Amino acid sequence: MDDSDEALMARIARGDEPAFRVLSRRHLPSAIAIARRITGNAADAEDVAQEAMLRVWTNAPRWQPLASFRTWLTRVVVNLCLDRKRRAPWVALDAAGELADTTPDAGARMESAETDSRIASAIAALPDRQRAAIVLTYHEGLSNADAAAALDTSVSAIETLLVRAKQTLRRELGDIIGE
Amino acid sequence: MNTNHSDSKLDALLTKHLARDDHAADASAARVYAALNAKPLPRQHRDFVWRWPSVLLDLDFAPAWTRVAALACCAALGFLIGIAGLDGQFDPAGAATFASRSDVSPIDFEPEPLTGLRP
Repeated sequence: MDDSDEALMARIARGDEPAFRVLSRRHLPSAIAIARRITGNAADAEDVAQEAMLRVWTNAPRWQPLASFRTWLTRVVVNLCLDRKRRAPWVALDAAGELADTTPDAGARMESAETDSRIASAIAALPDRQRAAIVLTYHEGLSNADAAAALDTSVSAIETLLVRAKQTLRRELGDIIGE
Repeated sequence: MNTNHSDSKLDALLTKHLARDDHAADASAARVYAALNAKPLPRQHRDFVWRWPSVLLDLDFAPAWTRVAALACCAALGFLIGIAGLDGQFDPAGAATFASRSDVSPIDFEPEPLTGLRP
């Protein structure tokens, strides 16, 4: 049986719940990962992923395979994240810090953790759409065209978002990247 | 040149940072998957043609299909009878044409204008 995303969507459009479960199990981890990177909040990310999958179910009869299912789902997740961020302030994932580590190489690991924390904070401080563009490009590995489709904008707008985001990050992380 | 170098270093840094294994995402995915399966899925957005039977079910107004079919047949028959007009005449072409009764007496009893004869 064809279990491609598009074939599963065709079955879901006819009300096939097992097909929906297969599709959910396949795409939930990446949907949650994107949502966590954009919202910076694990609980919000779970809510967004659940809402996104329910929208997949309810809109399946009207879904047209004009773009790949993954691009469409990414678009739904990003839009839900941006909607949610308009209502609630951003909380950085790494803001809580970590407990002291007393094992060997603890110093190197602490330094690495601090670097990670600074990068996370710098990404967190970006405007919403710039952060979404960074996440889609560097976390999801989307092309500019796919990222533009996911953010419902043009390729040139994505390029502008990336340029501005990287200017800010280069300024914030200059000592780490050796500028 | 320097900008290109720092660009590539920033690209590498972002790729490495954002590509870290997110073990928490797996646990979150399991929780969301369980939550999705825990309750019935909502109604799908369909055209009204496909939706109205479920609307009837929601309103607890869902008679058996055989009765619906019988009701629909009765309604259609009644409509056709109404259109055909059973209260009309079955043979309008062969029916005699009557003048009103009030016209009959003068015709029967008045004298013939030319001859003066009475009927």
